[in-house]
Amino acid sequence: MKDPTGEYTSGHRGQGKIGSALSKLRPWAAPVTILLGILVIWELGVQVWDIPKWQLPSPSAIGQELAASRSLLLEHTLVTLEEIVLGFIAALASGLVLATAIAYSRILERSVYPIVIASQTVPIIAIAPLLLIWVGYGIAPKVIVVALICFYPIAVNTVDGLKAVDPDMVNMMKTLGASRWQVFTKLQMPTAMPYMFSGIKVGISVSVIAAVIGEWVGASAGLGYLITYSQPLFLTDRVFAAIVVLSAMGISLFVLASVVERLMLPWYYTEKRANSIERM
Amino acid sequence: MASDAGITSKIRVESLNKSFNVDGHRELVLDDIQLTVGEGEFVSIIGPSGCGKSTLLNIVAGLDSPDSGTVTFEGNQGVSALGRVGYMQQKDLLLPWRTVLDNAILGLELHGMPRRQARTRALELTEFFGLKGYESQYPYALSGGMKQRAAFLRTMLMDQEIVLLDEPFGALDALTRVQMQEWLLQLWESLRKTIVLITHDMDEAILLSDRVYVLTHRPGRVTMVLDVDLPRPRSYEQVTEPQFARLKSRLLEPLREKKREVAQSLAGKEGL
Repeated sequence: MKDPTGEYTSGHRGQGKIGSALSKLRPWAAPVTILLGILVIWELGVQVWDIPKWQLPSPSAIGQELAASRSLLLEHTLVTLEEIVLGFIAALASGLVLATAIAYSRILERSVYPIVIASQTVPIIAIAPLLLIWVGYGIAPKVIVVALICFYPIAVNTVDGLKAVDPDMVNMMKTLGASRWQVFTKLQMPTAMPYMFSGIKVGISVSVIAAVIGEWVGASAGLGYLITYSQPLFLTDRVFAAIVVLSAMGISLFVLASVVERLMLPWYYTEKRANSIERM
Repeated sequence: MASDAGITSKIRVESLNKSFNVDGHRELVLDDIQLTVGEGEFVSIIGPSGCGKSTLLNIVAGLDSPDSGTVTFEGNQGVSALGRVGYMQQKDLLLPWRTVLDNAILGLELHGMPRRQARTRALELTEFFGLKGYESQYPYALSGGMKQRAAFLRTMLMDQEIVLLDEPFGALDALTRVQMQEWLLQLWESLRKTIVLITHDMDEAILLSDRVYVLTHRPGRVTMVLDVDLPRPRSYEQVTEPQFARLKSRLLEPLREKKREVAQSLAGKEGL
C-alpha cells in the first residue's frame, strides 16, 4: 500500500514492540480497517469488471502513478503549498486583528460583525474569476481565495473565545486592580486560545479546497491546475494521484495545527484528559 | 445595634439602598443597610440566599454602585475600592492556564512586579497555605480545598488591609470546610486583617467573627447585630460549648419571628 494507509500499516508493525503504542493506535484500528476494505473492494471491482484506467483507475494503478510522477507531483505540490501557507498566514493575521477589534469595541461588534457573518454567504467560487480580472493570473488570486475561506472560521471562533470569559473572572481581575488592557491580555486572550485553534483547524482543513478552487479558475501550476489539465487528457490516474496528495496535504496540515496547539496549550489538554478520566 | 464609636472604622456603610430590574419592575434588594467594620475586626454577614449579601459585598468591593447611600473607607468617601481591597469569591476563579504559583502572583503581576520577584514572595507563603510541592501544578490537579487556598494566597499576596470574603468555603464539603475555617482563624489571628465574610453557615459566622450582621430575605435589611464575645484564640471545638449554643440560638431569633414554615425551612438550610 502506498497511499495514506501506508502510514498505518507501518505503524502496525511497530506496535508489536511496545504495548502502550498499541493502545494508542487502537482507536485507529476501525477507520483504517474500513479504509483498507474499501480499497480492496475498489481494486477487485476494477479487476473483475475490467474497468478501463481512464474511467476509474484501481488503487494500485494510482499508486503506480504516484511513484512514476513523483517529481511532477512534488513540483505542483510546492506551488499549492505556497498558496496555502501565504493565504493562511494572511487569514490568521487579519482574522485575529479583526476578532480583537470586534471583541474590544461594541460599536465594531454591532457594525462590522454582522457584515463579516453575512459575507460568508457570498460564494467564493463566484468571486474567484473576478479576482483574475482584479489582481491578475499570478499567485495573488489563489492566495486571496485561500485567505478569504480560512478567514471566516478563524475570526468567528476567536471572537467567540474572546467573549467566552467568565464575568466573575473579569470581576476577580478588576478587584486585583487590572486595567481593561490587562483583562484583555491576561484573561480574554488565553481564554480564546482553544477557540482560536478550533478555527485554525477548520480553516486549515478547507484551505486545500480553497487553493484548488483558486487554481481551477486560472493557473499554470499547482495540484488543482494539474487536475484540470490532466482530466481532459483522460489521465484519470494522475487526477487521482493529485487528489491523494491533496488529501495527504490537508491531513498533514491539520495534524501540524493540532501539534502546535498541544505545545502551546499544555494545560488545556491535560485538563481535558483529567476530565475524561474522571468521566470513565 | 453594636456601636464602636471608640474604634476607628475601616469600612462604614451608611443608608445604602440598591434595587435591580426584575422582569420589568424595580425590586429593592438592599434596604437602608448600615454597617461598620473597625480596624482588624472580623465581621460576618449572614442571611438567606437571595438577601443581597453578595450585592452588598460587590458594592463594597467597588464592582457595583449603590442607588443611594455611601461606602467610606478609613474616612475617605467616593474612592474606588478596586485594587485596594482584597476580594475572594465562592468560586476559586483560578486561571486554568496558569500554575498554582503563577495564579498566586497574578495580582502582584498586574501591579507591575516582575514575575521572578513575585514568585519568590509567593514561595515564602506556600507552606502556610498548604500548597508546598504543588506550586507548578495546574489548578485542575488540585482538590477543592487547595484551589480555595491558592485563591486565598492570590488575595493575601496583595497585602490589602481589608479583605472581603464571599462564601469562600461554600463549595467545599463539610469536613474540608471545617479545616478551612480553622485555618482561616489561624491566618486572621496572625495577620489581623480587617475581614468581612459572607456566609449562610451560622457556625462559621460565630466561630470566626467578632460581630455578625443578620440580613433578612429580600429586601435585605439588617435585622440583628450580634457581638460574639467568645475568647480568642478560638478553635472548632468551641462549637459544642454552651456559650456557642447560646449565641447560635440568638442568631436564630430573627428567623423564629418569621412565619413558622419559613423559619423551619431556613433553619434546615442554614444549620450545619
